[in-house]
Amino acid sequence: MMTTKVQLLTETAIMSALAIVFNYLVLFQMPQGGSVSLTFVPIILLSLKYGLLTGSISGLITGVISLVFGGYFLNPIQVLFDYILAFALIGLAGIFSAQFKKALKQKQSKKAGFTVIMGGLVGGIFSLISHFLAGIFFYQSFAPEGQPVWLYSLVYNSSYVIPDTILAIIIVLILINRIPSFFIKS
Amino acid sequence: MDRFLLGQYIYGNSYVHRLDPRAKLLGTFAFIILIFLANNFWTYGVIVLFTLFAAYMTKISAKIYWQGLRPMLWLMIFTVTLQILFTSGGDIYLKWGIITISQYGIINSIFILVRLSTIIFMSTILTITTPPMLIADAFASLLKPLKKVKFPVDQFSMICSIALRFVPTLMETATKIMNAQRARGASFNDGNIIKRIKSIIPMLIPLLINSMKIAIDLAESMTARNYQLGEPRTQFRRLRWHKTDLYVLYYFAILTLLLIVLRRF
Repeated sequence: MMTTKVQLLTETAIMSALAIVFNYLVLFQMPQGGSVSLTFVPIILLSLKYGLLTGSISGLITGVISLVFGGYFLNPIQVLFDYILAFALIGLAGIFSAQFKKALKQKQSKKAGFTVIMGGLVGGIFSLISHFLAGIFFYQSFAPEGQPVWLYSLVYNSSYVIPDTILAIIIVLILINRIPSFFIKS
Repeated sequence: MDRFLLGQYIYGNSYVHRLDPRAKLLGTFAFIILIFLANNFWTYGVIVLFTLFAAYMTKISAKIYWQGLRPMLWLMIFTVTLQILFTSGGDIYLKWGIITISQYGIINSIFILVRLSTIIFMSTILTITTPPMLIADAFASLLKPLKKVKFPVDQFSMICSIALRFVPTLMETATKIMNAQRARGASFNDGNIIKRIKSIIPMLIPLLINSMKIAIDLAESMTARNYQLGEPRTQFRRLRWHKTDLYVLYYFAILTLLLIVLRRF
C-alpha cells in the first residue's frame, strides 16, 4: 500500500520533469512559423491516470521549475497566471479521470477517446484563459492607454496554446491505443 | 546540456552568490512589487542605480546580462514603439494620421524600458547566482507556513527536487532516442503535419516507458531506504540564515523608503 503512494510521488515528479524537458525541446516548427511542444502531454497523461489533484500538482511543479530555469517575472500577478495557474490548470483534464478509466477498463475505446478529448480541451482552454489574463496584466502596465490589450494577449497566447492542446489530444488518443497498460495503476 | 543541469547559474564566490537563496528570492519578489512605486525620473533613477549596484556585486560580466536581456529585446522594442507612436499628451512633436509622437509618449517609453530591463536584470541576478536546486529549496522553505493549512509542503518539495534532478537525465534520454530513430531513417522535421505527428510516437513511447521505469525503480529504492511519506526529514543541503541575509532585507527597506519619499517630487 505504501509503495503505491511513494510511486505516485515519484511518478508525479518524473512526469513533471518530462513536461519541462518538452517545454525546451522544440520538436518541429509549424508551417506558419510557431513552434509546437509536447509540454501538455505528460500532465494530461498523469491527470487522466490519477485525477485532478495529482495532475494539478504536476502542472504546478512544471510551472515553478520552468520559472526557476529562467522564466520571466514581470509582475507578481503575471507570474501567478503565466507560470503557476496556467500549468496547474492543465490538470483539470483530471475531472474526466474516473470516466476515462472506466471506459478503458470496459474496452470502450470510443468513450475513452471522448473523455480524452474533453479532458484535453478543458485543460487547454483553462490554461489559455490563464495565459490570456497574464497577458492582460502584463500589457496593462506597458501598453498605451486605449489599445486593445485583450486582443494582443488573445492572439499571442492562442498562437501556441491551441496547437499544443490539439497536438496533445491527438498524441494521447494514439497512446491509449498503443500502450493502454500505461494508464492502469500498478 | 549544462543549461539543464545548472539553469543559467554561473559559478562564483561573490557577495551575492553567498547570500541565502531565500533572501535573494524574497528580494527579487520585493523588487518586482517595489518597481510599481516608481513614477518619475528620481524614482526610476534610484531603481537603475540599485539594479546596477546589485549586478556589480555579482562580479559577473555585463556580457552575460546582455544575453539575459536579449530574448526579451523584441518585446521591449514592440512595447516601446507602441508607446511612442500612440501615446499623446504634453508637447506634440509629430502628428501624422493616428500616429503622434509626443512628449508623454517618449517619457513613458523611457520609463517602460527602464522598468522592463531592471526587472529582467534582477531576475537574471537571482538565476545567475543561485543553482536551480537552491532556488527550489528556497521556494519550498518559504512555503512552509502553508503547513498550517495542511498543504503537504514536504512532499511538494520532494517532488520538486526529484523533478529537477531528472530533467537532465530525461533530456539526454529524449535526445538519445531521437538520434536512434533518426539513425533508422526517421525524420522529425519533414513532411506534412500528419507525418510529423506520426514521427513523434516512436520517440514518445520509449521515452514514456523509460520514464515509468525510472519512477518505479525510484519508488522501490526509496521504500527500501525506508522513506516515509509525511514524516519529518533532515536535509542534505541546509539553508542557513546569516546576518548578511538580514542586511539584504534592510537594503530593500531603505529602497522602499527612498521610493516613497522621492515619488512625491
